[in-house]
Amino acid sequence: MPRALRVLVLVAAAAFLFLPFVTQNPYYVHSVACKVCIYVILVSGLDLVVGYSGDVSVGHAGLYAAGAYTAAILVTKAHWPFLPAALAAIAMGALFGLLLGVPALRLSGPYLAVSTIAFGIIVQTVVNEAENLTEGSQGIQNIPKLVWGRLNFEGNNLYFLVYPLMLLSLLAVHRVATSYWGRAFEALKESSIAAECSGISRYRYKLSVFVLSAALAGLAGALFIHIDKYVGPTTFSLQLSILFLIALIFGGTRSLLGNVLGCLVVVVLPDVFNRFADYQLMTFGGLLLFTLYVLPGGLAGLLRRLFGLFWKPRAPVAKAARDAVPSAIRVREGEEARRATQAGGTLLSTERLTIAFGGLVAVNRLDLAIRPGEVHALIGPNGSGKSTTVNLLTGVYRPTSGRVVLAGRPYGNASPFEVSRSGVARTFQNVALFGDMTVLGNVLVGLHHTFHGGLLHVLLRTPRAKREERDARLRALSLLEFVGLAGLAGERARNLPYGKQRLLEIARALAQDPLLVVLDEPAAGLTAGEIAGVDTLIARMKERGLAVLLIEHHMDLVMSVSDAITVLDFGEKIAEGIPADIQKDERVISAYLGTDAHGMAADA
Amino acid sequence: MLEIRDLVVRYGPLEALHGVSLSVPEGKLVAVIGSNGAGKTTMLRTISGLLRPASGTVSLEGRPLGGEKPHVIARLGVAHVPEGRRVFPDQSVLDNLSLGAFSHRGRTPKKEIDALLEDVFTSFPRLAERKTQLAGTLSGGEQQMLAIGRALMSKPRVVLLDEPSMGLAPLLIDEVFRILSLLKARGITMLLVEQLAYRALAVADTAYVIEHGKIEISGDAKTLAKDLRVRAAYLGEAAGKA
Amino acid sequence: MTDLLQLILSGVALGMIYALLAFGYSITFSTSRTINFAQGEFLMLGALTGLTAAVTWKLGYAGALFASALVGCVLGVVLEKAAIAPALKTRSAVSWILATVALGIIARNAAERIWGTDDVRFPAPLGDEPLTFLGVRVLPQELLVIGAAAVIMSGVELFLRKSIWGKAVTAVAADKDAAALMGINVPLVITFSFVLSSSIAAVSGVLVAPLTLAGATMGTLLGTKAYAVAIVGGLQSGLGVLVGGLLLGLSEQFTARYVSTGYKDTPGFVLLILILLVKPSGLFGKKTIKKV
Repeated sequence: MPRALRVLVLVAAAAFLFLPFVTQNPYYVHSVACKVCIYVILVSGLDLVVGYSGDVSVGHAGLYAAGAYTAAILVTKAHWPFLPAALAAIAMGALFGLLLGVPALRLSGPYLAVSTIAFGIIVQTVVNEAENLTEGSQGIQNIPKLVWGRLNFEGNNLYFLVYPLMLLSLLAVHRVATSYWGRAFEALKESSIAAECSGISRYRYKLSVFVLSAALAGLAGALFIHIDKYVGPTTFSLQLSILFLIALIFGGTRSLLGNVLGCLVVVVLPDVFNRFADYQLMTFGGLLLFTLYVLPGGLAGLLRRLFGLFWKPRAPVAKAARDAVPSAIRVREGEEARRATQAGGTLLSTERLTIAFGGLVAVNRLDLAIRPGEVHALIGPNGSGKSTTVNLLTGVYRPTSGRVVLAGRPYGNASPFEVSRSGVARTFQNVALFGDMTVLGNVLVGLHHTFHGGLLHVLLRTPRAKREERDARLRALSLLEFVGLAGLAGERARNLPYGKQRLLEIARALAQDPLLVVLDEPAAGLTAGEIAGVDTLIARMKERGLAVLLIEHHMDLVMSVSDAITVLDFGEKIAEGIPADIQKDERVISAYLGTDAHGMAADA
Repeated sequence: MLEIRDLVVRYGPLEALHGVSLSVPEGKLVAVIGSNGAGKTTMLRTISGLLRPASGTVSLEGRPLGGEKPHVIARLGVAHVPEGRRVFPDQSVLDNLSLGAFSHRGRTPKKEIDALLEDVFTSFPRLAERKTQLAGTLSGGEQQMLAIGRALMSKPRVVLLDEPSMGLAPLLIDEVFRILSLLKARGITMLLVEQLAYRALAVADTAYVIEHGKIEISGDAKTLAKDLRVRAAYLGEAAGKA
Repeated sequence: MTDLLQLILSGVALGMIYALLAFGYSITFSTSRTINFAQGEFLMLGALTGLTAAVTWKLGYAGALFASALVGCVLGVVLEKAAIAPALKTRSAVSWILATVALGIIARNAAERIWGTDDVRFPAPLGDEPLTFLGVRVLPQELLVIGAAAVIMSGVELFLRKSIWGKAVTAVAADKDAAALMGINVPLVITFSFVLSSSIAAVSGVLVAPLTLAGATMGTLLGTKAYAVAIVGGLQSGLGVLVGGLLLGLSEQFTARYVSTGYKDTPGFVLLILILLVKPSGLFGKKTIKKV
């Protein structure tokens, strides 16, 4: 955001605090503005789930209810003051979010949407039935006045409580979204497999963000009870959950302004057009369909596009960090490296590794040993099981039998992000970059493991959080320098030419501080000149002590960089040795060319 | 029978084919050989309509196929045996074969379909034994036979074969190529894409070598088999000189 | 003992309705990896159209079934064209979920405008007089529901397994490219799967309405429970949704009888959470392997 715009936003945000002095009309201040603020708190949290994380919750009304009832019960029955009751409401929202997210987010698919709908309905049932706590269908009345000493938040004054809280919520969401958390979400959304292989746990992040979102819904609920000084079960219907989604989508996801505009529309529209009350759902449903397919990005997206006619965002110019280059590649020292050498000079080995899909045995009792610091090539004709082996080594597939041992320690059932964390990074045969992110952003995803400050550091933007971000950026730039992409740091990854996309994948893999880099056909689709570049790059990686497993079809490249070659055919190892021997091996030649090529060549 | 002229295909930023031309005469077996990533599969997928060409034409018996949907092209008589076989794993061998005849269902009397089926079972006795077994439980070689049998069920004008030897053990590869020469003897027009160059050249009438999305060499298969440049393309220059 | 039999019978009748709806989900999920979040609303529209056909136009129960099936077909096409096809192009899960949710509230609002907001009695074709077997009292409509649901589900399964068109649907579900290479018009098959799924939902409305009441709000809860059933059974398994439906129908009846009628809607949610914790692919679901 340019400085002028930032100042403008801050001034506008401050100016709105004085709304109750501009108009005393309780309809505008108490009924509309306060409600909008509370909705924004909830919807900005919903944006984390829908906009950033890419899941759909159709049960936020249930979480809202959990917060509202927790606060209402505590202030009326236990006579707690507002603040602890609100904190309890936040905790309750988060708890329900956790209970719901733990099962529902295990698989990707419509599971969260289905579970949240069901959850919303169950909350209504429980609220109606647990009469001794919730007063059933009557609802809880007599919510005490919200007065702290001389501060009175009754009537229009409630605005002075909810408006600052709304700003804080927006700030919190903004900080999460612009931190390494936001990058993790975006990466997971674009390619969850590439994100996992870059060391990000899909489950952990999706769950955390859902819990955070649920906590904000709990806070919104705790504030809501002070609007009408009443809370009853009919408020928290499935329709309300859908209304929140409409506010979010129509306003525009991933936009603070969009959250505010969307909530304003859903609060004000029914009042303005109260003659159409009978057609309200139809109108909102139509609005949602219209936004999804005609106005993606919603109101905020529309404004951004109009704005873009006058003001073109410039990609941040990244300064090359030439002197930082030597530090680009860090070879892990200590524990793992030590264990690697102790394990008899083998960094990674497979023991009778086997995987079968139905009746097809794709990899059959494969024994493979990669020594520290060597470039080991895995070659073989199409369909010989090379890519399947890569997927087994990186935790994407689970072996049917046999095991993989890294530095003396077997993987067990490690998932891809755990494999990445333990020191095996990879690239993909069909380039799997995060296309909408910048080149720099892609490498930063690989550097995810360097961020140790938790959510609190992100929310408070502590010096540590800032330092980690700054260090990671420098490191990312030097990695880009290493692969020769430093000049393109601000470019969107999808706009890179194909050959450079492959280099960017290598930079992202190197960012994970691996012990072993698995390059899955890094030269596929490249021109001869680009292949020569890959050749040098691999040599430089080796120079710095990295081990490389190279899967490749370009034999010139394989023969020139490899220390050892393993040849697969129909899922089995048919030869192993140094390049010169492999080139002369009869079985290899016949696997590639189909017959005794030697004889045929001799005829010629 | 099948003509390709100046075909250009792009995958996002990557141009996979840069102006490929070739022709498949009726009753002949034409082989396209080249290493992985050379654009062979892309070419076949474009012929059968799964990919759209950026420019260039594909025509079957003089009729242009450009821009047609894959199911229309299949109904016109182009049978594509895809890379990796792609049989329907949860359906029986028999169901897979009946689906092979889907493109001319209604137009062909049941008797004729039964005759086609009988024919496939004669060529592939293993399939007859496993008629009711789910295709996903077959071995790789059996799946390949099923995929070829499925294509034959469609009464094809031309059969496209994408690496039928892929991932198979040597003995099964022999079997696949035996079947190809059998089909050739029956006068079936075929376009074979294969990385096992010498095996493909041994059965083909004419052949094209494709590298980096371009036809590098073409000509009579027997002559090409003796051309050392073919070897160079596979095992690197060193092997070519060896 | 008779008490128990009574409970089981009502549970089975209810479970069959859930199974029918969930069966619809499984059909569209297998061909397009989407489910229709307006399915419950489609059931409701089917019931109300059937009511108009049976009562206002005096076409009888058969006429109601026919009218609802017809409406279901139209709804299926509208759903696929307006909500699913555009989302499949953008490959966004958020889009299809929200688009079908939007269609659902539009359908519900439309029903309120056309048929009003009150719940109406749907005359049972075989009368409301319970039959008595071995002391167990059973409504003829319950038997009709069980029979009709069994016929519909086995009919569709038979169609999918035996007819060439059904095999084509299964082929599209397994591998769209390979199916297209067989000469199968893949987009048409996907539209067809939505037509099939939506008309099953609409017909279920006419089946269940005489047991409950017909009204604009009747579908939401049934639809939601059917999602749970679909997931519990395994989204792509016909047998799974049947078992899941019966499991839910029975556990609801038992909850209502032995816990409290107020909590009879909770077992679906509990089952859903349990299955997601223990076997997320569902009782009869298969793990799928993603190619990288």
